[in-house]
Amino acid sequence: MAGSSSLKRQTLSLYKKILQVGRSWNAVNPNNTEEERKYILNETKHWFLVNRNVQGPQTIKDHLQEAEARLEMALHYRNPYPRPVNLPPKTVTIRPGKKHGVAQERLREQSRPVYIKSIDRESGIKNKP
Amino acid sequence: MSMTTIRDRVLLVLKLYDKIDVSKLTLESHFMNDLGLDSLDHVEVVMAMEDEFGFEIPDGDAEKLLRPADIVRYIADKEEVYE
Repeated sequence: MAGSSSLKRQTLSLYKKILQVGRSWNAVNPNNTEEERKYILNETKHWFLVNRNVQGPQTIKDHLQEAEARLEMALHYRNPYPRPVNLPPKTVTIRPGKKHGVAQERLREQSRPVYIKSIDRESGIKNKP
Repeated sequence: MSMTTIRDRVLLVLKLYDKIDVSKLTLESHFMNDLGLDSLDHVEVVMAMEDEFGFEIPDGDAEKLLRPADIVRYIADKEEVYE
């Protein structure tokens, strides 16, 4: 249990850190500061809440890494919005009602950077259990 | 600053927090068990206290502040206020 309580502490302290960044955020264009602050606070609260029941130390660590990656990228690029991700070669768009194979799933799984872990899930792509 | 003002300010901050049911709020109510907050909400409560009293509360201390009364005592200790 020592491990899981330390992960919990890490999660809460990261949550606090991101909220603090959000409150004092300054946008590149000062006119957008209000909007981006609001976005950061809402986005942080949203994803921490959605993922609060995540189980398993490795999965939790992945999600912590996701949050850290997004935080660092936001600070570095001074842009809080998620970075767009390209699909790897040989993937096809998944359309509802159209079959696609295991290989497509795997390609997507492998090419998915950690910083879109949660977002990608919500976009409706199937996940390995 | 006196004990009473600390108490009033802590309760005021808590009343302004939208997830707390004011009718259940007392000095002795437990944030998680009585007021139904989760640990993420608790972080926000602690941040609100930091804003109100103007100093930082380290994570190790924050996780022990589970009732409004704990917060009042903690702040009183920091500000060296005694009854």
